[in-house]
Amino acid sequence: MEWMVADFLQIDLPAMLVATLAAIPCALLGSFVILQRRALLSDSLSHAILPGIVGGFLLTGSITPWPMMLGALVAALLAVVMIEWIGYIARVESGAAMGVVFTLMFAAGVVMLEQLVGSRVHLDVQHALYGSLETVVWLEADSWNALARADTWNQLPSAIKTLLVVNLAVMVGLILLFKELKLTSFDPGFAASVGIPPGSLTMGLVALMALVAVAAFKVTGSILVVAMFICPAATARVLTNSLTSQLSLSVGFAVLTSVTGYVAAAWLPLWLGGKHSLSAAGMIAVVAGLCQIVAMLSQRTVTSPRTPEVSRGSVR
Amino acid sequence: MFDWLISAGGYNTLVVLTGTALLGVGAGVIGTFVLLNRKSMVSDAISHATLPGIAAGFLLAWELGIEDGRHLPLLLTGAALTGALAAAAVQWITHHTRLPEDTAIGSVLGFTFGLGVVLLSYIQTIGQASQAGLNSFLLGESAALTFSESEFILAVTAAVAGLSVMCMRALASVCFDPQYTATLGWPPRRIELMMMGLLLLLLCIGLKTVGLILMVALLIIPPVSARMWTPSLKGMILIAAILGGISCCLGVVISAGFQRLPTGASIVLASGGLLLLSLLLAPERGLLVSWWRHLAIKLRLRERQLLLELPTGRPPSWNARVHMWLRGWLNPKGTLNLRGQKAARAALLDAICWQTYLQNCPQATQLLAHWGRRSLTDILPHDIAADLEQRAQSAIEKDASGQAGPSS
Repeated sequence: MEWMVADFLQIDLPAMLVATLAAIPCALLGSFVILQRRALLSDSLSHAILPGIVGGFLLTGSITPWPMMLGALVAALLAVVMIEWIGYIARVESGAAMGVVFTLMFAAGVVMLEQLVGSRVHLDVQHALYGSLETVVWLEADSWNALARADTWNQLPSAIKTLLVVNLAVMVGLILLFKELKLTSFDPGFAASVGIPPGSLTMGLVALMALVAVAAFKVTGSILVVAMFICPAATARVLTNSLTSQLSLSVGFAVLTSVTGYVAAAWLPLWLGGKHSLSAAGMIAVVAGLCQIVAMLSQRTVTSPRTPEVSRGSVR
Repeated sequence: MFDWLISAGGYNTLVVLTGTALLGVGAGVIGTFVLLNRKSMVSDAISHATLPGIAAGFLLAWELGIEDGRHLPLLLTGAALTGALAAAAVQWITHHTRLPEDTAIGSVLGFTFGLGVVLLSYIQTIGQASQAGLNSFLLGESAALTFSESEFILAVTAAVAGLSVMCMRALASVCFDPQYTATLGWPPRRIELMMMGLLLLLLCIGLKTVGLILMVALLIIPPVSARMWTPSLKGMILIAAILGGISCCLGVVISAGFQRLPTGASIVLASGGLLLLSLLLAPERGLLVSWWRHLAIKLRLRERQLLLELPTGRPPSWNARVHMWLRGWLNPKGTLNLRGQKAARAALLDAICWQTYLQNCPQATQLLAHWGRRSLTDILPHDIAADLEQRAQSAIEKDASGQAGPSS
């Protein structure tokens, strides 16, 4: 029993913490992103930050989070500018422009990774795609008593520390920009007319998304971040019409899916008689998707005949 | 070039080259319709959604004991099945829930890819060394393309390209005006379904070469580049096919020349290079042409302004001097020569023509688009222009004699 506790505290608890801390800001930003009909931006950004991350790594030569984050930020802003620019010059819809930009940047990132770093460090394409939640360990926390010591907390895994800072940054950013974001999400025309610059607001949102995406990148991988951004927020969107409950519901679903997903990946196979656990990041995405499916099905049968007009199509 | 290829990669490289080039051609053709139908990002969701299908196909084949599980037809069937399901799911979510299409695409993409990752991690636990072969589906590995696979690609691509060209009118009318399609008696939804089917077919055969993450690039980038070059649909299909083929060839050659360069990524970067060239060089819409046009207008406006400022007697600025010198309007002493004086007179005449015309016909606002850029006498009919010019000429002469009178 003692061994089980140590195992839980050293391996499972930090992994769950990381997943939850990554999912919460994703869900908050995802709510606004969905309301603004920019859901695909999260997909594009999660791919497009790869060259930035690798570049940040190349410049400093270490996998400390902050240079990577800076690189990712630059890459994300560059991607958004290029999306606008290509859409304008080639006169194609924004979806196609996004497709062009993120695939190109992702390809560049893959080449950089393979050519320059691949052989020396454990930053490789598989990790970039799948994530590695299982690598976060908190060796000092070997018993409940250890949690009471300040020393243990000082040795908190760096991924958790980074994510705590990012959580704080996102919350502060959202509180400061709440009114503006709310207006732009529901009535962009009115928001622009009262002097809220839509361009810089989008850039701010993009910067926050890049920050979250790169913090979550190491644990979830670049593609599963999309599920974290969209699925909990979409689940909440199906269930509610008010912005505050949208935000709180999406955070609720984020916490629920990351904990359940981790449990389902780490312990369920063992309980079912298997020998190894499954990919936690993938399982979290699956659970988030299942939540959304259940919400969509129930919503459809209950209220679809009287779905208010506001909910569909009138946002833009 | 060819000799180098044969010596570098041998027969195998040639086979790979043909196969991938054909893939690029097919992707360019069907990608054009997908782009015009605004379904580019749906194809992204579909291509990500093939991962669980591939993994499930592998598991099934492994259970049945076929070829270590790496039975290509079974893997691709699985991929096609889950891809089709994903496309249907995006449709369903968009039409039956309040969530818009972009959210539907994102959530389907995340969910299916997560499912694929979970299945892959399960495959890893059953201790299969051949799982490494599955990873090549992510980023592509064309070096492993065999002759029979190349033949397969050739057949499918020919079918896809042939069908889409044969049904070009139907596909195009769905892209541009589905209601018109319906009035012609063609079922728009079924045509769209056919388009998605062709897309799925091409995606599946491209998985092994380009990889599921970057396959969507081959479908989007060449058509977007082609869009720069031509406004016509036929031209766009042709150019997209050519660009797709070239980028695949370039990509394969480049990745054969370097170590550790995944084919998928190098193909995408090659097509990105072609896109950059198209953005810069395209006639009509290209950046260089529009920069040049912009510059020409700017220069014309500036020249006109400086010519009109000359009679005021203010000494011309250094910029203006350089401009006039470049046009050959200056004497060695720095004063206007005959040609310069002629140009200045013409500019003054034109300015007065414009003034007179706009005073007399203030309703002619559409002409204002040319104001300051073209001579008015070039735009108006001959008789009106001649009349205007005469009036302006006499106004100038009157002005000159009026000014000369008191001063002398």
